[in-house]
Amino acid sequence: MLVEFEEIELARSGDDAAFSRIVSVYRKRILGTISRLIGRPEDVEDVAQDVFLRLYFSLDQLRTAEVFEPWLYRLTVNAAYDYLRRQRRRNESRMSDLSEQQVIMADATAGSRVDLDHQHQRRVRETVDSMLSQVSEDDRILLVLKEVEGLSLKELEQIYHVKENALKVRLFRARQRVMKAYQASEKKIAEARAAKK
Amino acid sequence: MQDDQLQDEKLSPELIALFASYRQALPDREADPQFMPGVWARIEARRKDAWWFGRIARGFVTAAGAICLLIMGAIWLPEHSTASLYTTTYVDVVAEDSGPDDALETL
Repeated sequence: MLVEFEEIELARSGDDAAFSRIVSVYRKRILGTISRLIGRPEDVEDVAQDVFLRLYFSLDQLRTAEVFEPWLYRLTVNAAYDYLRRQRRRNESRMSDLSEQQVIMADATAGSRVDLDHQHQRRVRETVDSMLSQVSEDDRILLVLKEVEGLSLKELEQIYHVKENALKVRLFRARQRVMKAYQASEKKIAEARAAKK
Repeated sequence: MQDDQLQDEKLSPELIALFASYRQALPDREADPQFMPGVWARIEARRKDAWWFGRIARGFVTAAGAICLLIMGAIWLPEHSTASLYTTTYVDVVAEDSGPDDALETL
Protein backbone atom coordinates (compact mmCIF):
# COMPACT_ATOMS: atom_id res chain seq x y z
CA MET A 1 0.00 0.00 0.00
CA LEU A 2 1.32 3.43 -0.92
CA VAL A 3 -0.73 5.23 1.75
CA GLU A 4 -1.58 4.56 5.40
CA PHE A 5 -4.97 3.11 6.28
CA GLU A 6 -5.60 6.16 8.47
CA GLU A 7 -5.29 8.42 5.43
CA ILE A 8 -7.98 6.41 3.63
CA GLU A 9 -10.20 6.48 6.69
CA LEU A 10 -9.78 10.27 6.89
CA ALA A 11 -10.70 10.62 3.21
CA ARG A 12 -13.71 8.37 3.78
CA SER A 13 -14.87 10.60 6.59
CA GLY A 14 -14.84 13.59 4.23
CA ASP A 15 -11.35 15.04 4.74
CA ASP A 16 -10.59 16.69 1.37
CA ALA A 17 -6.92 17.23 2.21
CA ALA A 18 -6.49 13.50 2.85
CA PHE A 19 -8.19 12.75 -0.46
CA SER A 20 -5.80 15.15 -2.25
CA ARG A 21 -2.84 13.36 -0.69
CA ILE A 22 -4.16 9.98 -1.88
CA VAL A 23 -4.57 11.33 -5.42
CA SER A 24 -1.02 12.72 -5.34
CA VAL A 25 0.39 9.36 -4.28
CA TYR A 26 -1.55 7.20 -6.78
CA ARG A 27 -1.90 9.45 -9.81
CA LYS A 28 1.42 8.47 -11.43
CA ARG A 29 0.60 4.76 -11.24
CA ILE A 30 -3.00 5.26 -12.37
CA LEU A 31 -1.94 7.45 -15.31
CA GLY A 32 0.53 4.76 -16.39
CA THR A 33 -2.02 1.97 -16.11
CA ILE A 34 -4.64 3.95 -18.02
CA SER A 35 -2.20 4.85 -20.79
CA ARG A 36 -1.45 1.15 -21.28
CA LEU A 37 -5.12 0.17 -21.04
CA ILE A 38 -6.47 2.68 -23.55
CA GLY A 39 -3.37 3.27 -25.68
CA ARG A 40 -4.15 6.91 -26.39
CA PRO A 41 -1.87 9.35 -24.54
CA GLU A 42 -4.00 12.39 -25.35
CA ASP A 43 -6.98 11.08 -23.36
CA VAL A 44 -5.14 9.56 -20.39
CA GLU A 45 -5.53 12.54 -18.04
CA ASP A 46 -9.22 12.84 -18.78
CA VAL A 47 -9.85 9.17 -17.93
CA ALA A 48 -7.63 9.43 -14.82
CA GLN A 49 -9.61 12.42 -13.58
CA ASP A 50 -12.74 10.36 -14.10
CA VAL A 51 -11.21 7.57 -11.97
CA PHE A 52 -10.51 9.94 -9.06
CA LEU A 53 -13.95 11.50 -9.42
CA ARG A 54 -15.49 8.02 -9.11
CA LEU A 55 -13.21 7.31 -6.17
CA TYR A 56 -14.29 10.48 -4.34
CA PHE A 57 -17.98 9.69 -4.65
CA SER A 58 -17.67 5.98 -3.90
CA LEU A 59 -15.28 6.05 -0.94
CA ASP A 60 -18.18 5.57 1.45
CA GLN A 61 -18.93 2.22 -0.24
CA LEU A 62 -15.44 0.91 0.49
CA ARG A 63 -15.81 -1.85 3.11
CA THR A 64 -12.33 -1.61 4.61
CA ALA A 65 -9.18 0.35 3.92
CA GLU A 66 -7.33 -2.95 3.29
CA VAL A 67 -9.07 -3.46 -0.04
CA PHE A 68 -8.40 0.09 -1.21
CA GLU A 69 -5.90 -0.76 -3.99
CA PRO A 70 -7.99 -3.47 -5.71
CA TRP A 71 -10.93 -1.07 -5.36
CA LEU A 72 -8.97 1.71 -7.08
CA TYR A 73 -7.88 -0.71 -9.81
CA ARG A 74 -11.48 -1.74 -10.29
CA LEU A 75 -12.53 1.89 -10.72
CA THR A 76 -9.65 2.34 -13.18
CA VAL A 77 -10.73 -0.71 -15.16
CA ASN A 78 -14.35 0.51 -15.24
CA ALA A 79 -13.36 4.00 -16.41
CA ALA A 80 -11.07 2.56 -19.09
CA TYR A 81 -13.78 0.14 -20.17
CA ASP A 82 -16.32 2.99 -20.52
CA TYR A 83 -13.80 5.04 -22.46
CA LEU A 84 -12.96 2.17 -24.83
CA ARG A 85 -16.62 1.48 -25.50
CA ARG A 86 -17.24 5.16 -26.31
CA GLN A 87 -14.19 5.18 -28.58
CA ARG A 88 -15.22 1.99 -30.33
CA ARG A 89 -18.61 3.46 -31.16
CA ARG A 90 -16.95 6.66 -32.41
CA ASN A 91 -14.19 5.03 -34.43
CA GLU A 92 -15.87 1.91 -35.72
CA SER A 93 -15.62 3.04 -39.32
CA ARG A 94 -11.91 3.86 -39.31
CA MET A 95 -10.72 0.90 -37.24
CA SER A 96 -10.41 -1.30 -40.32
CA ASP A 97 -7.81 1.07 -41.79
CA LEU A 98 -5.50 0.99 -38.78
CA SER A 99 -3.21 -1.73 -40.04
CA GLU A 100 -2.70 0.15 -43.26
CA GLN A 101 -1.96 3.36 -41.37
CA GLN A 102 0.46 1.43 -39.28
CA VAL A 103 2.30 0.18 -42.38
CA ILE A 104 2.45 3.67 -43.85
CA MET A 105 3.77 5.08 -40.58
CA ALA A 106 6.28 2.29 -40.16
CA ASP A 107 7.58 2.77 -43.69
CA ALA A 108 7.70 6.54 -43.37
CA THR A 109 9.79 6.38 -40.22
CA ALA A 110 11.97 3.45 -41.23
CA GLY A 111 14.51 5.49 -43.19
CA SER A 112 14.93 8.31 -40.71
CA ARG A 113 17.78 8.24 -38.19
CA VAL A 114 16.33 10.99 -36.00
CA ASP A 115 14.99 9.83 -32.66
CA LEU A 116 14.86 6.16 -33.64
CA ASP A 117 14.05 5.06 -30.13
CA HIS A 118 11.05 7.34 -29.96
CA GLN A 119 9.85 6.09 -33.33
CA HIS A 120 10.28 2.49 -32.25
CA GLN A 121 8.18 3.13 -29.15
CA ARG A 122 5.51 4.75 -31.25
CA ARG A 123 5.49 1.79 -33.62
CA VAL A 124 5.13 -0.61 -30.72
CA ARG A 125 2.24 1.42 -29.34
CA GLU A 126 0.52 1.50 -32.71
CA THR A 127 1.03 -2.22 -33.31
CA VAL A 128 -0.29 -3.28 -29.89
CA ASP A 129 -3.14 -0.79 -30.02
CA SER A 130 -4.14 -1.99 -33.46
CA MET A 131 -3.97 -5.62 -32.37
CA LEU A 132 -5.94 -5.01 -29.17
CA SER A 133 -8.55 -3.02 -31.04
CA GLN A 134 -9.48 -6.28 -32.80
CA VAL A 135 -10.52 -8.01 -29.59
CA SER A 136 -13.31 -6.97 -27.21
CA GLU A 137 -12.83 -4.34 -24.49
CA ASP A 138 -13.08 -7.10 -21.88
CA ASP A 139 -10.29 -9.11 -23.48
CA ARG A 140 -8.15 -6.03 -23.99
CA ILE A 141 -8.38 -4.95 -20.36
CA LEU A 142 -7.81 -8.44 -18.99
CA LEU A 143 -4.78 -9.01 -21.24
CA VAL A 144 -3.21 -5.65 -20.43
CA LEU A 145 -3.67 -6.20 -16.69
CA LYS A 146 -2.17 -9.69 -16.88
CA GLU A 147 0.44 -9.50 -19.63
CA VAL A 148 1.47 -5.85 -19.50
CA GLU A 149 0.80 -4.76 -15.92
CA GLY A 150 1.91 -8.17 -14.68
CA LEU A 151 -0.87 -8.59 -12.12
CA SER A 152 -1.19 -12.01 -10.52
CA LEU A 153 -4.34 -14.14 -10.67
CA LYS A 154 -4.95 -13.36 -6.99
CA GLU A 155 -4.87 -9.63 -7.69
CA LEU A 156 -7.14 -10.07 -10.70
CA GLU A 157 -9.55 -12.07 -8.55
CA GLN A 158 -9.87 -9.12 -6.19
CA ILE A 159 -10.44 -6.70 -9.05
CA TYR A 160 -12.94 -8.81 -10.98
CA HIS A 161 -14.62 -10.45 -7.98
CA VAL A 162 -14.60 -13.84 -9.72
CA LYS A 163 -13.05 -17.20 -8.85
CA GLU A 164 -9.58 -18.13 -10.09
CA ASN A 165 -10.85 -20.85 -12.42
CA ALA A 166 -13.31 -18.52 -14.12
CA LEU A 167 -10.47 -16.05 -14.60
CA LYS A 168 -8.25 -18.73 -16.10
CA VAL A 169 -10.95 -19.59 -18.63
CA ARG A 170 -11.40 -15.95 -19.57
CA LEU A 171 -7.66 -15.48 -19.87
CA PHE A 172 -7.30 -18.63 -21.97
CA ARG A 173 -9.92 -17.40 -24.42
CA ALA A 174 -8.56 -13.85 -24.49
CA ARG A 175 -5.07 -15.17 -25.27
CA GLN A 176 -6.41 -17.31 -28.09
CA ARG A 177 -8.27 -14.37 -29.59
CA VAL A 178 -5.34 -11.97 -29.32
CA MET A 179 -2.99 -14.50 -30.91
CA LYS A 180 -5.43 -14.86 -33.78
CA ALA A 181 -5.62 -11.06 -34.09
CA TYR A 182 -1.82 -10.84 -34.02
CA GLN A 183 -1.46 -13.41 -36.79
CA ALA A 184 -4.13 -11.67 -38.88
CA SER A 185 -2.47 -8.31 -38.32
CA GLU A 186 0.97 -9.67 -39.31
CA LYS A 187 -0.51 -11.20 -42.43
CA LYS A 188 -2.22 -7.94 -43.37
CA ILE A 189 1.00 -5.95 -42.93
CA ALA A 190 2.95 -8.47 -45.02
CA GLU A 191 0.31 -8.31 -47.78
CA ALA A 192 0.23 -4.51 -47.73
CA ARG A 193 4.04 -4.38 -47.97
CA ALA A 194 4.04 -6.87 -50.83
CA ALA A 195 1.36 -4.87 -52.67
CA LYS A 196 3.39 -1.68 -52.24
CA LYS A 197 6.47 -3.27 -53.87
CA MET B 1 -11.83 -27.12 -19.39
CA GLN B 2 -8.82 -28.78 -17.77
CA ASP B 3 -6.62 -26.70 -15.49
CA ASP B 4 -3.44 -28.01 -17.11
CA GLN B 5 -4.71 -27.04 -20.52
CA LEU B 6 -5.45 -23.53 -19.26
CA GLN B 7 -1.98 -23.20 -17.82
CA ASP B 8 -0.42 -24.46 -21.06
CA GLU B 9 -2.12 -21.82 -23.15
CA LYS B 10 0.65 -19.23 -23.13
CA LEU B 11 1.26 -16.37 -25.51
CA SER B 12 3.76 -16.79 -28.30
CA PRO B 13 7.29 -15.47 -27.53
CA GLU B 14 6.79 -12.67 -30.10
CA LEU B 15 3.66 -11.50 -28.32
CA ILE B 16 5.31 -11.68 -24.91
CA ALA B 17 8.17 -9.55 -26.26
CA LEU B 18 5.72 -7.16 -27.89
CA PHE B 19 3.80 -6.67 -24.64
CA ALA B 20 7.06 -6.10 -22.77
CA SER B 21 8.03 -3.44 -25.33
CA TYR B 22 4.57 -1.92 -24.97
CA ARG B 23 5.12 -1.68 -21.20
CA GLN B 24 8.44 0.10 -21.82
CA ALA B 25 6.95 2.38 -24.46
CA LEU B 26 4.28 3.53 -22.02
CA PRO B 27 5.97 3.93 -18.63
CA ASP B 28 4.27 5.43 -15.56
CA ARG B 29 4.11 9.17 -16.12
CA GLU B 30 3.80 12.36 -14.14
CA ALA B 31 0.56 14.27 -14.33
CA ASP B 32 0.12 17.70 -15.87
CA PRO B 33 0.17 20.54 -13.27
CA GLN B 34 -3.49 21.14 -14.11
CA PHE B 35 -4.42 17.57 -13.20
CA MET B 36 -5.30 18.14 -9.54
CA PRO B 37 -7.27 21.37 -10.09
CA GLY B 38 -9.09 19.49 -12.85
CA VAL B 39 -10.06 16.70 -10.45
CA TRP B 40 -11.40 19.21 -7.91
CA ALA B 41 -13.25 21.16 -10.61
CA ARG B 42 -15.02 17.93 -11.62
CA ILE B 43 -15.81 17.09 -8.00
CA GLU B 44 -17.25 20.58 -7.45
CA ALA B 45 -19.29 20.35 -10.65
CA ARG B 46 -20.70 16.97 -9.55
CA ARG B 47 -21.46 18.33 -6.09
CA LYS B 48 -23.27 21.30 -7.60
CA ASP B 49 -25.28 18.98 -9.85
CA ALA B 50 -26.11 16.82 -6.82
CA TRP B 51 -27.14 19.93 -4.86
CA TRP B 52 -29.46 21.09 -7.66
CA PHE B 53 -30.84 17.61 -8.06
CA GLY B 54 -31.44 17.48 -4.30
CA ARG B 55 -33.23 20.81 -4.38
CA ILE B 56 -35.40 19.79 -7.30
CA ALA B 57 -36.15 16.43 -5.63
CA ARG B 58 -37.05 18.21 -2.36
CA GLY B 59 -39.25 20.62 -4.32
CA PHE B 60 -41.04 17.70 -5.93
CA VAL B 61 -41.54 16.00 -2.56
CA THR B 62 -42.90 19.20 -1.02
CA ALA B 63 -45.21 19.78 -4.00
CA ALA B 64 -46.39 16.16 -3.90
CA GLY B 65 -47.08 16.48 -0.15
CA ALA B 66 -49.04 19.68 -0.69
CA ILE B 67 -51.08 18.09 -3.48
CA CYS B 68 -51.79 15.08 -1.26
CA LEU B 69 -52.99 17.37 1.52
CA LEU B 70 -55.20 19.28 -0.90
CA ILE B 71 -56.73 16.07 -2.24
CA MET B 72 -57.26 14.72 1.27
CA GLY B 73 -58.87 18.02 2.25
CA ALA B 74 -61.06 17.97 -0.82
CA ILE B 75 -62.24 14.46 0.09
CA TRP B 76 -62.61 15.05 3.83
CA LEU B 77 -64.29 18.49 3.85
CA PRO B 78 -67.39 17.72 1.74
CA GLU B 79 -67.94 14.57 3.80
CA HIS B 80 -68.12 16.58 7.04
CA SER B 81 -69.86 19.68 5.77
CA THR B 82 -72.74 17.65 4.25
CA ALA B 83 -72.88 15.20 7.15
CA SER B 84 -75.75 17.05 8.91
CA LEU B 85 -77.89 16.70 5.78
CA TYR B 86 -77.83 12.95 6.02
CA THR B 87 -78.03 12.45 9.81
CA THR B 88 -81.67 13.53 10.00
CA THR B 89 -84.40 11.28 8.66
CA TYR B 90 -87.06 12.23 6.15
CA VAL B 91 -89.73 12.10 8.87
CA ASP B 92 -87.77 14.53 11.08
CA VAL B 93 -87.44 16.96 8.25
CA VAL B 94 -91.15 16.74 7.43
CA ALA B 95 -92.06 17.16 11.12
CA GLU B 96 -89.89 20.24 11.41
CA ASP B 97 -91.29 21.70 8.25
CA SER B 98 -94.98 21.01 9.05
CA GLY B 99 -96.05 24.39 10.50
CA PRO B 100 -98.22 25.78 7.66
CA ASP B 101 -99.86 22.38 6.95
CA ASP B 102 -100.95 22.07 10.61
CA ALA B 103 -102.53 25.47 10.39
CA LEU B 104 -104.47 24.44 7.31
CA GLU B 105 -105.71 21.24 8.94
CA THR B 106 -107.04 23.03 12.01
CA LEU B 107 -108.99 25.25 9.75
